[in-house]
Amino acid sequence: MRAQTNLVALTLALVLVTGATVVGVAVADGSLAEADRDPLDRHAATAVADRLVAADSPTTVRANALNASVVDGLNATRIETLAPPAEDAAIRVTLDGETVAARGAPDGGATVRRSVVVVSQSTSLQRTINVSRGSAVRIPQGVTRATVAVDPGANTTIRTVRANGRVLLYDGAGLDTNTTIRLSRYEPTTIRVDPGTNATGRVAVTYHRPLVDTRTLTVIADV
Amino acid sequence: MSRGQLSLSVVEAAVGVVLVMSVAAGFTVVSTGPAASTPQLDTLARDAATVLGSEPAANGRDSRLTALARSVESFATTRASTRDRLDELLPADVLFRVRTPHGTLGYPQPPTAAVGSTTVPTRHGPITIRVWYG
Repeated sequence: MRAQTNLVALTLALVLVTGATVVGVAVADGSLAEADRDPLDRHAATAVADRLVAADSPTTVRANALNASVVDGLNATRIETLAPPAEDAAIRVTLDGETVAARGAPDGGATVRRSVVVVSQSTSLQRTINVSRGSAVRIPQGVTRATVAVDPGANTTIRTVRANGRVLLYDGAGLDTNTTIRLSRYEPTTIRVDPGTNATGRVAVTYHRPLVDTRTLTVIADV
Repeated sequence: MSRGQLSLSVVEAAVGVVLVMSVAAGFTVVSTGPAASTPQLDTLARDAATVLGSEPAANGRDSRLTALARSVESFATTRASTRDRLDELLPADVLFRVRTPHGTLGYPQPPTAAVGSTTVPTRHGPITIRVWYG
């Protein structure tokens, strides 16, 4: 009688432990299934997006500002050079849904979205300072560099060119030069010259006005 | 038996069940990280902050972020254009809220949504951008 009671208890014990193991394995499997099963896809997509928008990347002019002419020439091989984790991956890079570069057909895979601006240059604009009238040139906000060509007339010495009041170019013996200058993007710049009396000649200022488009960069990668 | 003792096998089984369950509980506890969408939202918030921080504001002195933090008047004049700019910058399904030393702008934040955020220090105080899927 006593031995048979033990048998019932043993059976019950086995059922309990088996049940608990089944539940435990089910929970563990659920956790694994929920975890990121595509770390390589995500790594590749993140690396490509990060490298495309980085401040020191060849595709940008500053952080999150893509250079339109470079982006136009982008292809999968160049992207691979920029971001080695994307090697041999099916990849698609789009700007607002418009494909920039693609290789293969990434179905599934990981998607990364970034907010960027695309900066393109306008055709060059030229403004001229007529030295004899002492006029000034105003360069609008957002321009980072300009070319100043100083061309003094006969019997004229132009010593100083100023931007917003600070001295930009100076030569005590007289300027006759063609120089590229860097400007602040944040404020408009006024360029003036300090001519003497009866001065003639011209100063030509050439610059490109940047055109900024706001886009969403989407990278889909499937290793 | 007359004293109704619990069978030793059942006691062992109970200990075994506790052991197996504790291991299973370990799986659920360990994998409770942040929601999968948070890193993506954090990235979008950082992108928005980067663009706003490198874009000139209308006053011709500051970046947009600095203009928001500079003063109450500066915040008031920059507020509407910044809201439009963020609407344009972030993907259509992403909403935002910006907290500055002089007030907030953007959409009311839902209490339960997964939120990505970034805080940018400026000379006039910190600016926090929060984004979520709306």
